[in-house]
Amino acid sequence: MNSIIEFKGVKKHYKIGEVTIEALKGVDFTIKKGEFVVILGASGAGKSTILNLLGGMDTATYGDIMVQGENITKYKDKKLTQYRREKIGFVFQFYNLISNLTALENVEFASAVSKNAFSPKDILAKVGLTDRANNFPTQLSGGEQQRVAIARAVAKNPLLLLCDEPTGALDDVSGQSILNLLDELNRDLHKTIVLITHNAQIAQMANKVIHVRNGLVDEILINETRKQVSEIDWK
Amino acid sequence: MKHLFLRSLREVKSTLGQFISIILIIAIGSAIFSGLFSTVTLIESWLNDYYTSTNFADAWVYVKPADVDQIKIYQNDNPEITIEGRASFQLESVLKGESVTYRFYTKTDINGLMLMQGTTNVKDNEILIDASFAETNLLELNDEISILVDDEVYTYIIKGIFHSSEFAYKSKDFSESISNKKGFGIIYATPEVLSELNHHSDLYKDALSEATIKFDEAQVKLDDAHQVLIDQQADLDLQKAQIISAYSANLLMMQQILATLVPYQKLLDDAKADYELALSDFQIEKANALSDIENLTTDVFELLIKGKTPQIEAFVISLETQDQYVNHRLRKDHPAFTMLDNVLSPIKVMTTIFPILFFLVASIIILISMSKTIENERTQIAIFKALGFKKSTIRLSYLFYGWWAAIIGSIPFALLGNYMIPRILMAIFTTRYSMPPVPFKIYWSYNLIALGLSLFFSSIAILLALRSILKEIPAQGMRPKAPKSTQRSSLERWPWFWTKLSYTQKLITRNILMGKVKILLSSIGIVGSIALLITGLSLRNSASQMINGSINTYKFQYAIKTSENMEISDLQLPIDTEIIERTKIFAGESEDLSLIVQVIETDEQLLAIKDHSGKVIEMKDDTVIITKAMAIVFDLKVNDRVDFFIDDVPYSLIITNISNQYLNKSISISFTQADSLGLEISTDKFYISTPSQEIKQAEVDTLLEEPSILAVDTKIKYQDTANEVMKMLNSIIMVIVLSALLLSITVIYNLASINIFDRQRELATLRVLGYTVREVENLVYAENYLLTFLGAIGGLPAGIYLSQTIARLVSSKEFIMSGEISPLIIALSLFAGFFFTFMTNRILRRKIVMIKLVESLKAVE
Ligand SMILES: Nc1ncnc2c1ncn2[C@@H]1O[C@H](COP(=O)(O)OP(=O)(O)OP(=O)(O)O)[C@@H](O)[C@H]1O
Ligand SMILES: [Mg+2]
Repeated sequence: MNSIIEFKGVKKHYKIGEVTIEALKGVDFTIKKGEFVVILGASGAGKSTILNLLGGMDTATYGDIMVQGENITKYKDKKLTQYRREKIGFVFQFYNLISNLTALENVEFASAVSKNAFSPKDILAKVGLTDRANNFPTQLSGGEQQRVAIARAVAKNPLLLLCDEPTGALDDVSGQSILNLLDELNRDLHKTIVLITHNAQIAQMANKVIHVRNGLVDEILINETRKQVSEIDWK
Repeated sequence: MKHLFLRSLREVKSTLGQFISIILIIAIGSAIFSGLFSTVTLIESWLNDYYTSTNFADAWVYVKPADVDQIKIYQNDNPEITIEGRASFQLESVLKGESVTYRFYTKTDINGLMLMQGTTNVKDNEILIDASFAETNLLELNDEISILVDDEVYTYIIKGIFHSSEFAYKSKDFSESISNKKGFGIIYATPEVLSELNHHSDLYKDALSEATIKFDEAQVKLDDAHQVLIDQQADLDLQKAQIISAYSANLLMMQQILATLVPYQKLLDDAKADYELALSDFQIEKANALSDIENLTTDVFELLIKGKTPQIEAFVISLETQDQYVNHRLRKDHPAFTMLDNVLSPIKVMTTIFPILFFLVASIIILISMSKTIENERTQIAIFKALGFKKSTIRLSYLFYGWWAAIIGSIPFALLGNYMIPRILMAIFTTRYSMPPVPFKIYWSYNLIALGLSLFFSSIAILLALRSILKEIPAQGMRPKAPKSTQRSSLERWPWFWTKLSYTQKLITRNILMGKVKILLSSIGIVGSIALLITGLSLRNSASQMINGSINTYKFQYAIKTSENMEISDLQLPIDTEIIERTKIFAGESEDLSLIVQVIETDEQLLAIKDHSGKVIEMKDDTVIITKAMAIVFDLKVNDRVDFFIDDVPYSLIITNISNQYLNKSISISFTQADSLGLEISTDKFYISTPSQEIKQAEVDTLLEEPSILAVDTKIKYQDTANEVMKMLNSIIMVIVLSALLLSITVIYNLASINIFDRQRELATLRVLGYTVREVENLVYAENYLLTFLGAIGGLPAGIYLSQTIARLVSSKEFIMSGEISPLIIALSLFAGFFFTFMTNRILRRKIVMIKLVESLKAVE
């Protein structure tokens, strides 16, 4: 199977006054269609930076990021928006739901911009929130909010589902149910998922684990067998 | 303390845009406050000084001719008041080809002059002239003025140029609403000059000719009597001679016969003596009468009075009982006094409304933006408290922020307002007046009050914003804020409506409905802005109504004045003409207010007087048109009776039409009607239209060369005076519209940028979801438009109320503003309001484009 994503010598520099911070110092990796990829690394290693570049929320300073054969680092703002609109589903640590829209409306709102979107109601059912569809975000628990966020990301049927520490703000039980949900989405809908975490256990459910340290890829491991969430020893 | 101070400075830096806009609106409030109050105080105190220094009269009393002795008697009989007599003479003349009116006075202590140039000591061929006349006619010191009176030319040298408080508003007969700087010259001269000129007064000439006729008749009788005596003497002498020649032989006989004639001779001699006596009596009487008439040239008709009103009234009554009284006018009714008051009243109106409006908006903006800042810093505040800082210290830290804005905004701009606004307003309002330059001043007290108000309003806003946060206990503050329970908006109860909305529309609706307080507050700014726009436009509309109704309809090109009364058929005009119409103007009076009665031709076409709907009123023999201004002042309608006096003769007419003139109080009637009322209708004024319908200087010159034509005024001259008023109003309207612009931009910009800052995370989320910048912009813009719409709903009634109030306050007896509001005005104001919002949205674009996706989403909620 061919890779749909390829990072080639990607560098990201932040300039703060006189000082230049090298967040990424030359990152290379590939991701294949339908893979469940976990990016692992310590705080400040550059994980989020990688994800943001991949999600078209920021642009690389050097290097190429190929997505389905197109170099998105060459994209201008307009094309980048279109790229996000059509190909990317983003899940954040802090949900970022729109507080003045209900759960269902949040999902509908996102799917409205995509051409081959799933039915928002179906997706909401998939994340198990049919009966909370008409609640506003403030009326939902953190775990429920994250489910809505995932439903929102998935609903527009994106090429990539990017999750930046989706369980970071949740307790173990709700965190695991979120991971279960992602696993299901990967297996049933064949969504390519990139998930960031600094929890090494989570890596066991991935096809591919990319270790990041100090702005560089330390090593890339391929899991021969993926573990189910329930099979993982969480202690 | 030092840290809190530093913190407030950094806070300024991090919220620079918001800080600047707060400064801006405080600056406007302060500038307007100090500027308007300075203007009012400046004008009031300066006017007081001016009236005091020129010894402005408390009353003008007009009496039957009074000589020096008579005035002495008045003065002795009324020691509580100061009485001074003043001789005057008015005549129509021509200066540089244009008709002018000169009024001559003798110098008095009351209504003294403020000399601008030259000297007040003048000889018999020298005069003083008023500054505005000199300026507009380009006359200078030592220039000569020649005046033709009854074929005699008098030439005077200008030795002094003055301002007079009495003629601050130069209006010939108080019926003109537009002051007449160029066409009306006030001249002060020696009593000898006045007396010399008064030999040409109608009063003198009439008295003289009447006396002359009488004396001539008497003389003829006397001469006849004398002739009889001479004839009789001749008879007698003849008889004597015959007797002497017949009786030359008989001397005795002759003696006897002659003796019989002696009694006859005696009778005759007696008759002669009687005649001589009568003759000398007649001559003495004639000489006396002539000297009485001669005295008319030095008698005065006008008394200037200083004193308290009750004493003045008492004096007036005593004059009435002595049958000496003609008329009087108190200071409060004098145009120089009321007109200047008219300057102040609109400024005073603005003084009460504008600064408060701006300060209020400033404090609302500070309140909203500080509430936001403080909410974002809840945790910080909780930490401060946990660290053991006192509430007062925390308050102070935030107050510093507001005080910075107050100080930076208020001090320089209050001073600027104090400097600029009186100058601008004086320039606008005093163009109609003839006054010496006003010395401008800095009023520290107002600047301090402006600063105080800025500090007060910003402090109140900040304390209000801090109130609820400071009540929390520290632990509460460090926990995330309890979720504001999101509720369905009431609109959602109508699903047939709600389901039709797009997500964007739903979002906007909920955003707006859930921030009710914010909406209410922000709407106040927009309400104010729309209200100001409506006011500005409606004032302009009223003003153009005034001008259009008065002048722009005129169809004539020239108004000429001939050297004597003429019929149209006698006119010898050296240019091509199309229509010639006569006109005649009488000064009238009704309910103690002066008005003019204009007599015009039946079926006249050159004035084209229009009614309220813009239709030309047909002038029939019995048409009586009154102006709208007059209808309002006297509360008259069509078919009402209008009563008025011309030269103390009462007249009463039934109104048939009301014209759309808002400027003058006048009654227009036909020559036929005037004739039947017994008015003298021969005239020397004519309106002329030419085939080309254009005003040409060459034609004016040609007309002026014709000896029978004294003066030619063009339609432009009438328009100029009207445009002066228009210019003044335009400047006020500019100020109002500009304030509206500033107000709405500051308000919308502030609220929207707070809104954007507030919802950065949400907007960034939208961007990440793939919404384009344009789509996100539209969301924010739509909210602003909706806010503008809501503000407009409140702004309409506010604007209608405001413009009618201002129109009422600005209107005076001389000057009527209708304050009418047409749908066009409302449409225009709404358009402008939305246009301002559109402009603000343009400015906001940058803010939206600049939202950084990664950073905005990283922050913890
Ligand atoms: N906007 C920015 N400006 C400057 N430096 C930045 C910026 N964003 C990230 N960095 C720096 O880049 C490096 C990588 O940051 P990144 O957010 O990718 O780390 P991370 O691996 O996601 O860490 P964590 O697990 O804590 O989220 C860090 O050293 C960080 O300080
Ligand atoms: Mg991270």
